[in-house]
Amino acid sequence: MEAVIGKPMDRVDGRAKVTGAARFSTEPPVQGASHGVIVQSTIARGKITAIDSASVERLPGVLGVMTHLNAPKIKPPTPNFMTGGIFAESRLPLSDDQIHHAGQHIAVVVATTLEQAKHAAAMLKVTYAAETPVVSMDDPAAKVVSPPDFFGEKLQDGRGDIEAAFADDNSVIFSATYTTPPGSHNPMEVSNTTAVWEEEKLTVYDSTQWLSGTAAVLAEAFGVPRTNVRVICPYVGGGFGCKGFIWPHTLLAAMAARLTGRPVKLVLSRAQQFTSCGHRPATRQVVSLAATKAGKLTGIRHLVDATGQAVSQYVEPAAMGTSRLVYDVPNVRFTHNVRQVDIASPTFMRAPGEAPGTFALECAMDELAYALEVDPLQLRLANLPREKAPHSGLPWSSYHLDECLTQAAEKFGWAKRDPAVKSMREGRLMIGQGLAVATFPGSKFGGACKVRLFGDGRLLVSTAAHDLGTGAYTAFTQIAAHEMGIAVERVRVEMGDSNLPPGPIAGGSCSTATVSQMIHAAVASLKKKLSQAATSMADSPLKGLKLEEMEMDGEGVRAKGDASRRVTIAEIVTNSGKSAIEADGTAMPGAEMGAYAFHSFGAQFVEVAIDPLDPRVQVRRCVAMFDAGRIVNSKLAYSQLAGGIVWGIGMALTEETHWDHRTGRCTTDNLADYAVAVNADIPKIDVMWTDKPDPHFNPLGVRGIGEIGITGVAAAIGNAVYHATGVRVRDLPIVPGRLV
Amino acid sequence: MIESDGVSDAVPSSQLKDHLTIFVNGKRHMVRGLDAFRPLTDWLRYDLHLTGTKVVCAEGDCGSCTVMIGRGVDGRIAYAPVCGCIQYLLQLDGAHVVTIEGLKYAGGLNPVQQAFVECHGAQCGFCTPGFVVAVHSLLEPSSEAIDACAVKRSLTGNLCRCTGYEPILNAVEGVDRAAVQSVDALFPPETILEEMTAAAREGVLIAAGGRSFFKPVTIRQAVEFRAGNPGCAIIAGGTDLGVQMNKGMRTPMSILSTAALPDWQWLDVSNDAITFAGGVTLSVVQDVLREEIAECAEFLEWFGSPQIRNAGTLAGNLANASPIGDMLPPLMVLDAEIILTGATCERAVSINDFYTGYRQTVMRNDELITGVRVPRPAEGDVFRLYKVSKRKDLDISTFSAAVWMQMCGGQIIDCRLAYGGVGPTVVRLRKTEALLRGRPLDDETLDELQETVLSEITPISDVRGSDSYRNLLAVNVLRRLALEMASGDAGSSKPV
Repeated sequence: MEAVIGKPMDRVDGRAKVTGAARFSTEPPVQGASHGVIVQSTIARGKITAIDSASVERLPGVLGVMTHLNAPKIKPPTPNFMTGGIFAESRLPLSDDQIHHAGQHIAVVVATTLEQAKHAAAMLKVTYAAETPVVSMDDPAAKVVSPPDFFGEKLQDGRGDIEAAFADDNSVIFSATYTTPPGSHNPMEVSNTTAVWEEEKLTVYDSTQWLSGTAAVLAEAFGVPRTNVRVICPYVGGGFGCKGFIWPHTLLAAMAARLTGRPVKLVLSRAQQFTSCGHRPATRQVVSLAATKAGKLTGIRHLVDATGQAVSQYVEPAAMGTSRLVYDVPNVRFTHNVRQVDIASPTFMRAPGEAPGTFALECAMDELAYALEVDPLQLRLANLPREKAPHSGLPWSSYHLDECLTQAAEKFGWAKRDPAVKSMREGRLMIGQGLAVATFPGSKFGGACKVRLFGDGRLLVSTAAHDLGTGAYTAFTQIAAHEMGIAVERVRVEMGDSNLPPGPIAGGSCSTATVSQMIHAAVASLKKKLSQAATSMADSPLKGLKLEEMEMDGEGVRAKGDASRRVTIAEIVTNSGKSAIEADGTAMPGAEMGAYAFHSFGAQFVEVAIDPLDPRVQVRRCVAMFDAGRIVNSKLAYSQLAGGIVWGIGMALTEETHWDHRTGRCTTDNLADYAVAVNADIPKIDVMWTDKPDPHFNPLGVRGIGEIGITGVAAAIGNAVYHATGVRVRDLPIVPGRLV
Repeated sequence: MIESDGVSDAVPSSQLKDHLTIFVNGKRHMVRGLDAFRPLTDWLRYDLHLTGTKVVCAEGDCGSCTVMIGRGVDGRIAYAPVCGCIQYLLQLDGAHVVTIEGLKYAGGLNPVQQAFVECHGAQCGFCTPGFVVAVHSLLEPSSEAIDACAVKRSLTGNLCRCTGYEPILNAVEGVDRAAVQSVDALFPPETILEEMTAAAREGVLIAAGGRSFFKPVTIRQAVEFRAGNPGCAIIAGGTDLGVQMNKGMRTPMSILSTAALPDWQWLDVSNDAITFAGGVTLSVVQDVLREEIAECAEFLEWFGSPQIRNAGTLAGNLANASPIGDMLPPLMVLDAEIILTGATCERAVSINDFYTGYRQTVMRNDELITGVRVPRPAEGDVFRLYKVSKRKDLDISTFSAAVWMQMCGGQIIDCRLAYGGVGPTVVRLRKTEALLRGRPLDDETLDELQETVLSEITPISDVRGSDSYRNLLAVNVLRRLALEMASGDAGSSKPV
């Protein structure tokens, strides 16, 4: 049996996607579906004084206008990461007349056709009592809160004696302020929900990263048993974090369907997407570094201010995965303040915390390297915490950042770089090279799956997990084939339906880490059942053998070392009287989480070119290497990691969500003004990985690769820009105006 | 904004059809009433259940909705990939729409799809059908060599948020080109061309729900309708109006379509100028200029995307009167003429006299742009075009510039400069031009004219760039030109 783990297997869903046959959640035909169109607030703060629903209700095709005055009452769902779901805001939609941000949903117009609904929504007259909004984090009117923790992790913490580290006269001190702008996920598929009530049973087609969570939130909100709610989502057109928690539009679709007595299909517009499902908030980060003259770090202070919303608990944890643990520093202090503004709620966006946090920390490290006159690569290598995780004191389960830095440097040709700024030229072009460390924690959630082995040898794996485009269907197929010892062609993975055993949220780069453990457990259980069944069959040649005296060979169960004594799968299944032998498997983070530190690291190297007459930054080359545990499929992994780097390029150079400082309205709510990278912006990207299985994280040794790719990229580009031009840009994006 | 204009009774409705005839993947469909005012993609997805065509941005900015549109031209069907999200059904009378579902080969995947599967060109899969249609169109049988640059250029209109693009470009490279069939092979023209042509040659008048739509078959009819319905919206390629309608910024009650008006596709290439009829798409303009004014054709690479240029018209870009309209600066320095046809007369206006303010022109309520005459620069003239945008492709200009200079012995004899993105209209820099005449473009001249350049422009700060950045570009673009002229560097409009 040839090894399947690590192989560049083609996507199992490739055919469905290239033909357009893959049905995304707006696409299954729903009998009698009407169309819901959301009306959003045009003011950012204040309250609604009147809504003229009556004149819109008279328009052709209109079936209902749902506002805070007539919306069905729902209950606030309890947040629970492991067994429930998490509604993203503390305020339920349409629960009162208060406005917290421009773009807040204030009504849903339901009509027979989409055009009728759009037209009626455009005609709805709303009167407000508007107040002056707080839009910028610099506005003194912004309320500042300092939450103690974020999902169990301390937000205001540190170690050692930070004051002493910075008071030492022998230290070299460097300090600077970095800012990152708000960013928007902009998955290709906008969020959407189609809700169908049949008496007290609710079926929802929703583009989601968390089927079980969505089902749990809907059940609790509407006060129906969890078993009455089914959420279906076999394919997701990208999520990147904005489909993780449950957002108001999902509840609104189900509320509107209840109000009108009709199935309601509700699809956000691209503009609405910008204010409806979160964004990466703006940050202002003050990073101070203390080091000996020889270049050993003695202190890091990382003070984070990020924008937030009064109705949201979200905090951008910019120092957690960065200054807290990347370097071996005895004295660390970090804080996270939220400056509440009247703009839409923020949320997790690809590498939340690490994406903006690495920009600040890794630019500061570069600046320190120049202050110390040491090579930026050497400064990193001199300060790596090789033995244990500095924040927890736990030994690393698997740590290979050295290799990433040195091998990527080798591939990139870092040794040939002239360290002096403005030293590298190609004709008129100024050339610069920069590096940064990439970082992302190894996390797992809980989940369950069912495996079914049919008499013809086919294995069906079922779990309510997700493929956001990451390749989960394919990776899980390979993992199941590997665990079972059968060819991938005999495995089918079914996901995307909350009626299947509950899978984990597809977030935190934890899907493969969690699901591989579920599959391992289920297949182990299945093998045991098969062996037991094989020995207990009448006239079994394996009669009397203990479990450890037998083995599976893909076709059946046999005595160890004696292939002549065997029972085939077909015989076992036939004998069982059922169509298949099935087994369940679960995974939950266990004692290993308290025994080891699990973390992925990497190295990002980039080269930029800048024409001084038109100082747009052109990224010419990227070389990256990651240590993210065992890689399940090299083809999928390249795309995930390179795709993350492309996100980093966008974050560094063009992506910025902008809110008008007077009105609080989003002014970049489309793909023309919010510029994601096009193919011409993208250079050759070399991606390597250590492929070292993590020995303690899960049986296969995989961590996640969905998010680490973006981390460090913006810093590496900023550092390269400095090297090229001598201009240090501490504010993203690095637009030409900042180099003038 | 709902625009209330009544329907005039100037056009006799007796000879007009009351419906549209649209072919989709070889099948004929009749579209009546208010359905004519719907976007193509909504109709495909919700009514025909052809959900392979995705809607992502709904404004022609991502290519996920790419479909092939075929129209009868000279006895054959000419297909081009366009953005389906900003095509409205009323533009498509007599057209053949081929979707991803239509690119199905007997026996399985087409070679483009096969390569996308093998090279992992699909990740979340939402942009994938649009890419497949665009690539299939690029690789259809032809004798033209397609290099990596052509591949990249052909895909500037398709965004992907997952893959990082390289797997997609690898997929294109991996396609078995010999196995790619033409759309004609998939949908033999003999079965549909006759009906398509007949439909295209018939006028249409649809009045429903207080809205009206008129598709003329002659320019005379078009002008008469416009005269009778002065507030009507004119739609040709729809690459701008389609966006505005999708966003609810405009809901014109009366629409006049000049899309594929049969008499409106002519070109006239003479020794001193090239004249384009009002209905000529930017793709055709680009093809013609590649031979005639290469600099302009190269510049058009950065105009929207292939999908946009295949639908949008030159006349539309000029009539739209945007201060960052990409074709305005080049045509201003070439001193192009705009031919306007009204109910009673035809007149030619210099493009330099055409714009009167922010999105304001001298066009009268009954006039249409029926032709654009573009003089050729003379041999030895300097003609350079520059576009600066946030990203390399598929972007709105932050700043654009066009320079035409007649030189003699290193001295500038005559010149014209036009900048976009620095004021409420595209600006001719007449004082700077006067200063340049009779001088060489050297450092001394450049130092002296800086103040004059800045006095002629009034840039603002917006999401595309700050005023100071635009001021810098306005001066540096001339420095860049000087450097290029000194070094004999021919490239200009290309980004870094």
